[in-house]
Amino acid sequence: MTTHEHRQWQRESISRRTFLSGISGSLGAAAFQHLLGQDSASPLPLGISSRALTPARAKSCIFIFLAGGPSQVDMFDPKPQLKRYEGSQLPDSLIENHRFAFVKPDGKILPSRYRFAPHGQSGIEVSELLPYIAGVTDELTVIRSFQTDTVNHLPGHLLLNTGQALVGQPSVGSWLLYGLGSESQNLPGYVVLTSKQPVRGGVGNWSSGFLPAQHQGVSFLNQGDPVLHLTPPPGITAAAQEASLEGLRKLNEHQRVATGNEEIGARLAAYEMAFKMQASTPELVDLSKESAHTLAQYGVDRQGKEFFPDFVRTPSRDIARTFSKNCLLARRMVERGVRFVSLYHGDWDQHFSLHQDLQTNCLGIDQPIAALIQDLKQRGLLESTLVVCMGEFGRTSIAEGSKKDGRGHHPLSFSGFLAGGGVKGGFVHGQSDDLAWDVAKDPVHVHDLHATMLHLFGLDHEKLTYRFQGRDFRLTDVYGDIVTPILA
Amino acid sequence: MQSKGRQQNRLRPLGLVLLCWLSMTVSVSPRAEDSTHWAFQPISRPDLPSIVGASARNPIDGFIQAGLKTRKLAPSPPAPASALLRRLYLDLVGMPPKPHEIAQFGNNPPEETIRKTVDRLLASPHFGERWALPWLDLARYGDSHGYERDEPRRYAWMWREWLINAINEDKPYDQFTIEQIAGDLLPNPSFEQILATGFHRHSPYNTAGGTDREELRVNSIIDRVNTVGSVWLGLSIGCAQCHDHKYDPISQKDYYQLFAFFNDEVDDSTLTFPTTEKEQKDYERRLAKHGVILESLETQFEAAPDNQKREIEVQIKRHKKRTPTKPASAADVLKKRIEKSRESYVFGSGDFRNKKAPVKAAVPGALQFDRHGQDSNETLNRLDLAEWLIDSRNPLVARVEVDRIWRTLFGEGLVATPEDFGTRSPEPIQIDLLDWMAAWFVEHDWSRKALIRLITQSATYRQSTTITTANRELDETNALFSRQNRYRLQAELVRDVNLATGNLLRTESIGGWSFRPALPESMRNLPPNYRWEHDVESEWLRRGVYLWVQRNMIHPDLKLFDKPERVAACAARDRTNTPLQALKQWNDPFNVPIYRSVAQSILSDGRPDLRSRIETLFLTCLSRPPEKAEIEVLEEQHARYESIYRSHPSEAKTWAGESLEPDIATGELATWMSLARLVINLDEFIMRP
Repeated sequence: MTTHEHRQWQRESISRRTFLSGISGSLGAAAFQHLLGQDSASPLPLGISSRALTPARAKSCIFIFLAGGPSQVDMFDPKPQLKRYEGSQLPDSLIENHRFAFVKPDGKILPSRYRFAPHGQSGIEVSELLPYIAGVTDELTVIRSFQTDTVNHLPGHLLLNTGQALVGQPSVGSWLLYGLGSESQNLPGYVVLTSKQPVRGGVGNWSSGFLPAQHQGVSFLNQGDPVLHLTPPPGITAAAQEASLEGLRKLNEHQRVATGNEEIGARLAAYEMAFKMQASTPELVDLSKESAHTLAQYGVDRQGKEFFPDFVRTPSRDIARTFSKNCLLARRMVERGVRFVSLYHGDWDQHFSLHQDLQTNCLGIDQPIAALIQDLKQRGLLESTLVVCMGEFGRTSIAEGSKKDGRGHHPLSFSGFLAGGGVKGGFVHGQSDDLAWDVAKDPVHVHDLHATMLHLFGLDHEKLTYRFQGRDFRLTDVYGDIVTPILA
Repeated sequence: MQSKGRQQNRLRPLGLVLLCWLSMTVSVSPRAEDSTHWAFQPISRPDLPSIVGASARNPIDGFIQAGLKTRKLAPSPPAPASALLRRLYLDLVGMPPKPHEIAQFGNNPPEETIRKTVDRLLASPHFGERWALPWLDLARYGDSHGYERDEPRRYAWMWREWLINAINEDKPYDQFTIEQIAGDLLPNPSFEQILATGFHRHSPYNTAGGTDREELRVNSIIDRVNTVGSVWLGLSIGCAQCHDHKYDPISQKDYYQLFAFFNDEVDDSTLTFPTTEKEQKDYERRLAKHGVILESLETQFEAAPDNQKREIEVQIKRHKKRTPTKPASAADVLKKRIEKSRESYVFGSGDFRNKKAPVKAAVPGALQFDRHGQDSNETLNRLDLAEWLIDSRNPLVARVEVDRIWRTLFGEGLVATPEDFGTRSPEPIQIDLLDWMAAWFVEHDWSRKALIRLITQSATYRQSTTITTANRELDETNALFSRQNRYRLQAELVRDVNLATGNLLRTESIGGWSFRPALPESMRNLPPNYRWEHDVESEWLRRGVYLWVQRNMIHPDLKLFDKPERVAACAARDRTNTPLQALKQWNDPFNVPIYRSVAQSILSDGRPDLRSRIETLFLTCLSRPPEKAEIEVLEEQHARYESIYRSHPSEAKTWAGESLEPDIATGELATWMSLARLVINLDEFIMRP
């Protein structure tokens, strides 16, 4: 290979990571564009082939992760037949090759104790645990045939978030940022909001994996500054901070010219952005300008006594209020151009104490999620905002534990919903069998969900690749089919 | 001494070992035709280029300048002495030079001074701390298990200490390899040789309930095989776990033959150490606390009415179960099973439940280099694997390591794809230089320090980083090394350089356990149910290489600057530039004592005029004197800060704290702290020049 060819090769086929992290002179401008998250003259980030682009429906995504595995037969998937078989065991043919975690294969069938009724014009059935979400069914595509590969939480989390049950892979949000960049000039493009509950696997869930680190989700903190080091140290006045920025501008610029190193310009851009974030982030999380109506709609300060006496236990109320606030923050972020907002709620891992915890959890999420969807719709944002709500798997229709008040992990068929961002409203896709064990019709694997999500953002999941360790990686690995029936 | 010890440690003459492989892998390699690939060719020492420029200092320059000539490009002039000195310090020990060391080096140091400086830095115990960093990334070193529970691995650091010592004593790379792959199998292995195999015990491990033990064991071995492939061979052999490698000559059978080398180990072998003083004290403290609680429960029990006694009794019982256990430091190592050996199989689609054909340990067929042996039924072990790796005929191992050393001294390697030397890796432009250095490295007893010395003596290494128009037009990406590279320091070094600039870095002890600095309260709860408990503040001032690696929560100070997740070998880190990094460097209160220390030393060093103070500030923070234009900006900034703090005396007090020296006014201290903060936030501060 000649030098020239080598250079060409380096430019064209070397991984984008090497490119951005490299030291070569041409990178300044690209890095600069990238930092600001602006679309440059060429709208494509380096390394993305234009072939990866198709027309986009969604611009932002709010992914509501109900961590732990919510019980679909008590929430989204009515199974009246379970009543008939209550107390009996599953037929051997169903459980023969199934891998169980915790729940025993000889567990007895446990029907839901909650009433399901049709709602809205679409008549989609949801359970009485979700009275608010019942009010927005006409905006939802409910999927009752989700499938995943793993029976344990962490691999399940990772598979749903990154497409692989392995640590160290890039998450969906990182892939979207890598593919499309950010639209916000003064906020991170990918933000994670937790509900004061630890998330299994932590950062691994919003990691940029082998993608460049700027695509990693920024986890906002629930106490103090939402972003680390957002506030200058005590005693640094606004004037002093601004004076510093000006000094940095002059000195860095001097070195940039003297050394011909364009990357110095990128560093300065990072400081300019940091300076803007110091103002924009507190503004973002300041809810005082929201109307009393909006705050009440999301339940930001709700008391919650009216439903279940247990709800007044401080931790659950605190979690519920935090989640309400997070839903509202998610809307505010989408308004400000944040590409991907990840909301975590849960623990939905009801091996025991199913009813009490399920009621508390549903009470926690029902009102704010419905409010979010209505609010987005009312502001004209729902069309371009894809909302996804689901867990890493579902729960068994058979009981776990002697008290018959628990359900085990269930990856074979479970439910969740999508809304906005180019999916149909008032639509049900897929069907589980009468025992809620396996999928009866139209399975939607997690890989299919990912392929569909990228499609809605105008990205071809087979072409959005990244070269790492000598291999081209995809979010969907070698799998994934777009779920076309749900596209609006 | 080194090499003598090494010879004794070799179990068998190489030839005999190599004879065995033929019979083991009768299958023909899947892509024998790919053997024209550059990295699979035997390493021969190329002739030196005949035409060498005047500035050339050693053979390295000959190769580089020959390449530049083809583009009619001249090498860059030498970097200024101040930049060279900072470069050498950062590259070799990972800390900046102190002002008196800069003065000693001078503006125009004679060659002997430079050489002596290099020798002194190579001999410094901090060399091992600096050069352990890339190897820790390769070894996917962590202080916790990873996965869901991510529980602490309390003694992982013992292997790290071995590593730092091995690098400091310049353990030849072949011996370094043998000990890590199979130190336990050497005859009469020393304590350290067994400890070295801890390399393989850094695999992430899932301790969550509901996981299959055999699956976990198999996953750990898969991790070991993949890691050895990446680290020593520079090959992504992990691809062959499920199917024959698409591009490289590694079949699925080859993969499981490598797997077999690691399949016959005791599941959880440890090496016990004497307990450290800190652990003993910790234990005594916890025991005492436990005793106090127990006593109070027992008192409660006595006093309680009968209907409550039962409940307290349960509490007492539960508390007794939590009696602290006596500390026993035990490092994880590898140990061969003595009883019956495990069979190995090809796993269909990589699934451990799907056992196909049985296999025996063997090296990949396409990478065997001695096929003229007699049949043998001898079973190969890890020591044979290690011997194969470091055999002078192995085409990959020396090339991969030499490229890594080059990469650490230039920021970029000669090979464009450090994680992949396989057939998809294009032949490097400087293949001759790579091969020449690889041959030289092996001939010089695999001494890393010798190669580092050679490279730092070259004119190529000492070039300026300035990018001229000619550079930009003819060698934009610097693929020809027509200049030195200027790049952001690694995460740990960013932290070290900050602390060292304020003279706050604690460098007196080399090695030791991992420390945990503070975390913001909202980040301290780690799943599933424990908290990040930070150590006493004096521990936080230790070097970044010792900072606790919690796999699911890499400390944000380091994660922000691209410290990898440490779940798989990482051959080259990202070097991103983000606003969050700027916020950290700019606003973290952790840095305030650094500014204070710099300001205080400037204000108390007796040169009262503004210019000399600005000069000292630059020397302290950037190891160089300021240029005229920079002095002007600093003077201007000085006036601005001065006026801000004159009109805001209470802010000055908050910012600067009580001045420790009576002669220094608070406002002045606040002003100089702000100037220090300014210079420490310059791009240049965290760049390797």
